[in-house]
Amino acid sequence: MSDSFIIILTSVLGAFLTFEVSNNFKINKITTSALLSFTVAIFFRYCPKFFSPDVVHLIPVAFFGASLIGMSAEKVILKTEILFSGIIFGILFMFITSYFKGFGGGLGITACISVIITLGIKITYEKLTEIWIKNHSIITKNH
Amino acid sequence: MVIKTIKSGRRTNLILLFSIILIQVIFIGRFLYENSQFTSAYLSTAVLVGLLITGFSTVISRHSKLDHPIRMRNKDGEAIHNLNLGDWISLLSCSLGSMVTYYISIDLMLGPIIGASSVGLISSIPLLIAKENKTFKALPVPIYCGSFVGMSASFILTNIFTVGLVGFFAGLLFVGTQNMLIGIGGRLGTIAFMSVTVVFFLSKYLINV
Repeated sequence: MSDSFIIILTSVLGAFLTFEVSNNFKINKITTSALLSFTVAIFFRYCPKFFSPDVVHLIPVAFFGASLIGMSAEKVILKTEILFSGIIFGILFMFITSYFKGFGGGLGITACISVIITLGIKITYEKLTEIWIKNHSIITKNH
Repeated sequence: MVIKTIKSGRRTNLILLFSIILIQVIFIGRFLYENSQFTSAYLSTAVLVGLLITGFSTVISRHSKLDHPIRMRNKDGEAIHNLNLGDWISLLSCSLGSMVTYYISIDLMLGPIIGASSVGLISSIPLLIAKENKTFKALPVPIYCGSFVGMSASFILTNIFTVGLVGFFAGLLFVGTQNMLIGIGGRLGTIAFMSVTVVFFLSKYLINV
């Protein structure tokens, strides 16, 4: 498996697990995010042999950042959108990490950008579909 | 008077929201300009800015209470300017959360992820004892927000007292933006990032002068 695929997969898992665990078991979102991230961080700190050394130290970071996406409210974002946000986060994480290196909250702002971009794509898609349906019905009426 | 305070609160809210968008755009834009050709960078930044603005406008119109001033209003619609006890607890817990995370991450050399997540876990312990207690219910949020500040590296925030101060500043932002971006993941991290960058660049500029 390539390193970038592992990072994206970790991000999707981090976001999805936090969202699902906190909503299904009715656990506080902060507790869920902290507990899952802590478990992953401890596991990769003491058992780092499963993946390549380049990616081992990035997995807990990506998981923690993605778990912040999973902290979104159910009313705001759907399960599928959480998965999509996780993918966007994984991609942003791989390219933008170097720019916020050392700045606290960098993962949080990346998670926020991922969620907002997902919502932006969703709304744009809905608007475009609406316009397309409108135009399509006008064309069929004319015919 | 009431209308005036509401208007000024809305203006401050918009300024804060604008600065959040601006920081995010600068963040992405800088990366794109350094890593791709001018035209493609220009186009992708424009697309991303468009998506960000669309997303933000959706969030604002559906989920945020932007009509509320920066501070909560009382029953008569007047803005409350003074910090109450709950706000002070939030400020101090945010500061404390950042210092403990920094201590675990840098001084104990366990790393920022273990630092922040353990602080998040510790902050949830009171909830196990008293589930219905309002203060205990609200406490983990500012502490977790502070823990993001504490994740900063030692070359950005050099000592634990600076971290505490930045944590206090993040607490102020947290208290001030309670009605903004509700339910959006990464809100606490964004507050932390804003406070860390503002303090870092201000201190850098002041030291250089």
